[in-house]
Amino acid sequence: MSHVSTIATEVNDLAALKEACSAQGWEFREGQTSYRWFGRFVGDTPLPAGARVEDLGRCDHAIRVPGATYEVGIRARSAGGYDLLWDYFAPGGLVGKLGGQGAPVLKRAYAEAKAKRELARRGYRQTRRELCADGTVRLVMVKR
Amino acid sequence: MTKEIVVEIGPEGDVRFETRGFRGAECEAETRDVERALGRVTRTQRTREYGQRPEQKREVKA
Repeated sequence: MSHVSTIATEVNDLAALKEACSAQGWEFREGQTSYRWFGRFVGDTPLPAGARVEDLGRCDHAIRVPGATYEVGIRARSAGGYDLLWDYFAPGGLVGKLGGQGAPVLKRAYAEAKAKRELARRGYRQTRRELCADGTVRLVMVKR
Repeated sequence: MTKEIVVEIGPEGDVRFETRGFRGAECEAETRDVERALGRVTRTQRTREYGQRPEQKREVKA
């Protein structure tokens, strides 16, 4: 080994997000400007950072997950990157599909797609992919 | 020595990079841009091989 780094994933690449959706069997709806949610803010949870009540339901793109009524909204930040906006009210069906309020299923899929894209660009190819018992995905990438 | 990068995507979506077969600071140079492209680096730990000098090519005249 040479060094080990830990990274908190941030969504900033739409192409990687599209790949992640495809891998999960979800529909990336480019240019959709609204996402389905409960429809009314009841104040039981904090708003996403930088969002106002009137921003809820609006987005730049959306993700439709089969089996869920609600959708994930993707909104570009002025400083770069994207916010993922979604309603985790259980009847909407998203919280179960995304693995919880933190949307770990979506974050994992995005991180994998993004890591592969960036390393392929630098001449690496995947030689192994393992799924560990705790849900960790391990990729071994070797330089060509 | 084969240069490998092991990428572990944790259950919550955080990512851990482990470089193998690199020497010296070349491992960090190799992955720096990739790590930043993925998100915010929260921890970096250097290993024994980090202190070794990178392989240098020597030209030998016959």
